[in-house]
Amino acid sequence: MYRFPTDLKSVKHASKKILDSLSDLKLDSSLLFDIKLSFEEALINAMKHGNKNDPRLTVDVDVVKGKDAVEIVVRDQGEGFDHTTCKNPTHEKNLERCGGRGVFLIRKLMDKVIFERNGSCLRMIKKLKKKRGAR
Amino acid sequence: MNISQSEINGFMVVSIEGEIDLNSSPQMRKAFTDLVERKVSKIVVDFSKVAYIDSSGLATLIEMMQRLKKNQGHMYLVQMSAKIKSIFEITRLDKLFSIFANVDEVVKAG
Repeated sequence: MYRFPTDLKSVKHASKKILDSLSDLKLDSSLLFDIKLSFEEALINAMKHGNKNDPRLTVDVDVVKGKDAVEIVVRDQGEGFDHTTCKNPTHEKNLERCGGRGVFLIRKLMDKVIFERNGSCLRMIKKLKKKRGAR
Repeated sequence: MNISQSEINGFMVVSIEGEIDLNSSPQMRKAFTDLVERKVSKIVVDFSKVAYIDSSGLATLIEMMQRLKKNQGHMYLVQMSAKIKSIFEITRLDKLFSIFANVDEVVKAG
């Protein structure tokens, strides 16, 4: 398990740690992009909206590497949120809104996204496609 | 993030190098704000050296496009990688922004 302090400046460092932990899987750049973006969006949400930027709180991350998929779990120490209230940013009336695309991108880029513990825990799964020719 | 600017046929080309994310977006916002304040109205954002953009980066671009529009300006996005372009397509922001292959196409269209 990884534990990160609530500090938005540490997001890149955290992201690098998580991606480094996947390096043995030799994922292609497109998959890595999807995982990186989804993880960073989830971590930023956990710090900003979950932990309300409280530096005393932390975000815990689990990475489970399976044969066919990677599962990443991001848990904050906040009270959670109702993910069903997230507006669809692709609706005409929301298109010019500046915010609200983080969760939407995670849902689109990952294969399975599950909110647990009232929304304070996000479990996301990405199926793996091996590099062509890789064994 | 590195940001450089050059003028081509009346278009201000803003070339961004690096990742456009939560931490670098303020730098990008400042560069655009300076241009808007200087009454630059036609801005081309060159994505050729951008390998990553997150929702904060998208939000900052929308905000800057709206400010330009208020001043009768226009923003064009060029040289996106297939992956970055796919993020604009997924979010349907490809309908909101004017996306071109390169600066030459913008100049021809503009």
